[in-house]
Formats: sequence, C-alpha cells, structure tokens
Amino acid sequence: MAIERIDRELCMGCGLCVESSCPTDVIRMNHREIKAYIAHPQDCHVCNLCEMDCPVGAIYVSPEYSRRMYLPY
Amino acid sequence: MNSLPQPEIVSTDVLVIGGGLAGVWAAIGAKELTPNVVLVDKASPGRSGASTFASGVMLAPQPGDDLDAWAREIVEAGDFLNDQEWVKILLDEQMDRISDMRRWGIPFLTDDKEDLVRTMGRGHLGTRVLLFPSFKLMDGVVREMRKREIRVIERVMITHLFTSDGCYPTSGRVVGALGLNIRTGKPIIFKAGSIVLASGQITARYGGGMCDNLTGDGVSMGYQVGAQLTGLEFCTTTNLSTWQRRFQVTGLNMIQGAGAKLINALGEPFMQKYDPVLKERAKTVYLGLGCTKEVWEGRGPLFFDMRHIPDQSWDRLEVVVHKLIYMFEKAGIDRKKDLIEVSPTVQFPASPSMWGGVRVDSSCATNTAGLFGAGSVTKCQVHGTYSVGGVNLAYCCVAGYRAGHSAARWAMALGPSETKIEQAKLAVQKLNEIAIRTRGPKVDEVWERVVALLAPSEVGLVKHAKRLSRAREELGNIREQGRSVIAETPHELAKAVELENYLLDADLAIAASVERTESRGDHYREEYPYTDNENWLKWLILQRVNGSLSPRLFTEPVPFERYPYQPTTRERIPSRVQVAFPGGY
Repeated sequence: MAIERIDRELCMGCGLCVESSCPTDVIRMNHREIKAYIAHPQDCHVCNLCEMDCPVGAIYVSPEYSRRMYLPY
Repeated sequence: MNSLPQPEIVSTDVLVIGGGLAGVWAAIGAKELTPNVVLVDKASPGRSGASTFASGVMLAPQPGDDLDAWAREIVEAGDFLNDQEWVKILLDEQMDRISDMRRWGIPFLTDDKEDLVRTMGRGHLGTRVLLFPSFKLMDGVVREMRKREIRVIERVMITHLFTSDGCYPTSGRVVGALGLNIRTGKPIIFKAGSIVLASGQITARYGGGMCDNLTGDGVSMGYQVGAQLTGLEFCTTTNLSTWQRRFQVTGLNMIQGAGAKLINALGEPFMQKYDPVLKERAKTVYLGLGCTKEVWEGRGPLFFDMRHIPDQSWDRLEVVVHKLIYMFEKAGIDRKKDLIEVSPTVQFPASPSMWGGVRVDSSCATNTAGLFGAGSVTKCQVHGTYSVGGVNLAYCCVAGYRAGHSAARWAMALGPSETKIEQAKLAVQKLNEIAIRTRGPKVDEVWERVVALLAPSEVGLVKHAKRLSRAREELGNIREQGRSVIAETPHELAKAVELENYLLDADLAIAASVERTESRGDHYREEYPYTDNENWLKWLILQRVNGSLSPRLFTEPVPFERYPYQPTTRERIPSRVQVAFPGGY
C-alpha cells in the first residue's frame, strides 16, 4: 500500500528521492549502505513524485492508500 | 526522543516561508531589492507545495484583451465579494509575469508561430487560461531562483513567529521565526527584517489532494501573532476522486469532458437533474452535493462509467491524464469494461482554491507589521467566493512577486531585526516539552479522530449551526488530547506542530461558518439557503485580540462606492446551491 518498495539492487544511492522528491519525508538514506529506504510509510500521500523522479526505476508506489479513507456519507 | 540540540542562528533581511510557486516568486522579487533573502521549506522547492500538483492552467490575459470584460466576469463569478482593486492588479501584472516566465524558458503550450495557446476550462466565459506541465513550471522557477543565489534551507519547518514586543498578538512587529530541522531536530533561530508567509493551503491528512503536509501552518502562525484572517467560512472543498474506496486520483474532469457519466445504483445518470447544462462538468462542490443527495436518498453507491468512451478519445486522454490511466492500470481496473465505484471526499476546512486564509492588502501586507503573505496561505481576494479556474496560479506569481518587493522594502527601511533571544528560547522550550514527553497519544491517532469528525457531508458541506457547534465542541476535546501528543523523532515533532496548527484553523473555520448566516459560493447553510445581498455583501474577518486563541469576529462591507462593478440586487436571491437543488436537503 502507498509506497511499497525500493529495490535495493537497482537503487544507486543518488539521494534524489530523499533530498528532493518526497514532500512528506517518507524516504531516508541508509548512509552505511548508501541506499534509500522507506522510513515513514504512513505519511506517504501517493503523489508518485519519488517513482517519477527515480532515475533507475527502483521505487514502486501502489495507488492504494495505507491509511483509512473517510467517505462523506 | 531526547531534547533538541543547541539552536543555530540565521540572520536575513527577508525570510520567505514556503517554496511553492508563491514563495519562489517572493524570493525572486525580494532579491531584486536586497541581497539578503532566505527561503525556508519543510520539504524541497520544486517538489513542495500544491503548485507541483496544480492542474496546469493559469489565467493568461494578453495585450489587446478586453480586461474590463475579464474583470466583470471574475467579479460576477465571485459573487461580488471580490476585492476589485486586486482583480485589476492581477490582470495587469500577470501579463508581465507570463513574459518573465516565457523568457525563463517555461514550456507554456504554444502554436507553430510560438504564440501562447489559450483555452477555456471549468467556468470560463471570455477569460482564458494557458496550459503547461506543472512540474516543469516549478522546475523552471526554482532554476531561476537558484541562479539568483538565494539561500534555500530545506527540510526545516517554521514552528513559531517572533515579535518585537515578545507578545502574542503583537502590537509591535514580526522580527523572526523558529525553524525545526525535521530530520536532525536542530532548531534554527531566524532573525528577519520581514517575513513572507507562503506556506500554502489548509488541508487535513485526507489524502487525495497530495498535500498531506500542507496543514495551514501559516494561517495558524499568522493568526497567533495577530494577523487578520478572512474567507474561512468558504473553506469547503469537494473532490470526486475516491475510487473503489481505496485510492484517489485527480484529473477526472478531463475524462468527464470526454463523455464519462456518473451513475447511481439504479443505473441512472443523475447529475443532469441537478445541473442540466453542465451535468458532469458542474463545479465540484455541486458534484459533491449531488452525490450526497443521491446516497442520502438511498440511491447509492455511485459509479463512474467510462465504458463507452471511444479508443481515439483515450489516445488523446493518454497525453493529458497519463497518470490517472497509469493508476487505473496499477490498480487492475479495466476502464473499458468495469463500472468503478466513486465517492467524493469532503474536506473541511481546506483551502486549495484560496477561499480563505491570511488577509493581505494590495501590497501583500497583513495588518501585522513586518508580516507579508502570498499564495494559498492568504485569502485570494481576486476570487471573491471563487471565480474562475487559473486565477490561483496567476495569483501565486503576481502576489508572490509583490510580497517579495514589499517585504524587502520594509526590511530595508527598518534595519536589522530585534529578535529577543528569550522569546526564541521559550519557543524551543515548547518544542522540547513535546520532544521529551514519554506518555501520550501518537500524532496519527489524533489526526484520525479529527478527520473522522470533519469528513461527513453534514458537517462541512451541508452546514447547520447545530451540527457545526457540536463539531466544534468535539474538536475542543480533540484539541485537548492534541496537547499531550508524543513525538519519538523530529519528523513526528514536526507533525505534532502541524496537527496543532490544523486544529486551530479548523476551530476558526467552524466559528466563521456559524457566523455567516446565508449561503454564498461554496458555503451552504441548510437553515439559510439563500444568498443575502441585503446583509452579507461583507467580508467576515477573524482576529486574535488577547492571550486566548478565541477569535473576535467582525465584518467589513465590500466598498462598492469605490468599485466599478456593482451587484445587480441588494436583496435576498436564491443561492447557487438552491438553484441546483431546489428541493433542498
């Protein structure tokens, strides 16, 4: 649900998603391995910016929300 | 978490809070007049704020247009609550902003003679908008900002504003702000000659708007130092965008344009009952009202039917709503075979269309000295209630640039900031209280409660004083709980501050909604369903006047004696909602 995967094989640790793409600070850098990881999945608002910006296609964002959606009726 | 590290101090002439379209334009404007400009953003400019997800339309007056007719159209659509001086400013100056952005290489859609392609969208009669990919707009303006060597501080959230007299509300001026690095927890004390609020709209964590972090922080912070707010009673937004109760996608109106239908459980297309002319292309608030009425009367659930859209239309749609189609594919939806359940979301309070926020004059100054505002943190007074599509982004450019100039002039006239270190220490201490707390609810638990409280149609869409007051009371309980949240990381600490800001904004929006005893624009009161031009051609203003956070509410008549466009009647008339739903609710 929401951001689901960052492929460790593909991720080259460029940090674009960590530094720039994600507006809600979901993704952080594992500095020891120089790989991005999902730190705050509950805050993903499914904007897809990380998936769109990732130069190697390492990120997969599911369209489904991870939090409950409240309908108006 | 541990208490926060020692703060760092940053001094500047102008501090711009927020790096969306308005903030970036403010920084560029300020930098023309002073070398010392700092822009701070809790995310990263270019991928931050609602501008990144904007629909890609911007109001585009050009030399030779009949601007008098444009202005009249905007004022009529805005139910005459527009600040007509602002309307004129927007139309005049937007031409220059477009020229600037074309020079910067922003890829606005042009024809083979390189003339701008202008088009009509929702609600346009004579006014026109231009089209562009919104990411590229933001990439372009941010590139220009970086070229100008403006200092940009990222992943730092502003949590408090400082005042020269140390008081909230202040009778002095705004002199600085406290920032919190949301990753390291390091506080930054900003000493600033002036501040431009450009921190964006009010939204809750409903999702779907893709702006879960735009929690009305600037509206709350501005209010706390004494800045007037206006238009909060109009802050209801409806998105028809929840698919299968699982996810949200925007861009629906393009598919509706291609002929998609909304049908109820009986298989009837129902929007033609409520808006025989526009049908599915009606303003989203009417879609929300129409869906609510169908479901309340037992004809739910509701479906989106695009099975009959021909392949060649999909080929065209592929270009403009690529992401929506991509999302369908990801979710395993066959748009050519499946009926898809849809539902509106009602967000209240939410101000993506700049219905309400901090009140600024035509120089983008608030009533609090040293504090300026632009973009959706402010009430866009061009709109009135809400006028036509494309005004929002045009306003970000025009108001941003103006705010930057005004703030720079102010800072240069007054000299360096007199931030009192004691006030900054007190603000850090407040954050520390949350940081070191070990027992209490998590921030997300409290968010869940507030979203559940305010999501139903009968609170923020079909409003009634009785229900609003009940919601306000319950909101008070939630605010009480919100005062004891815990934060295990700086990330959570920032979210705790966001929550507090949103809860205050929500309380103020409910108070404003109760006060306006008529229906106008997207504000619909069940017990006052008409538009009352006799008593309510007025702006409703909220201001903090003492140590308590409760607002003083007062009105100001729209100064028609100074304005060119006059309302056709000063009597009660059927509201737009009444016209669409004559049977009422």
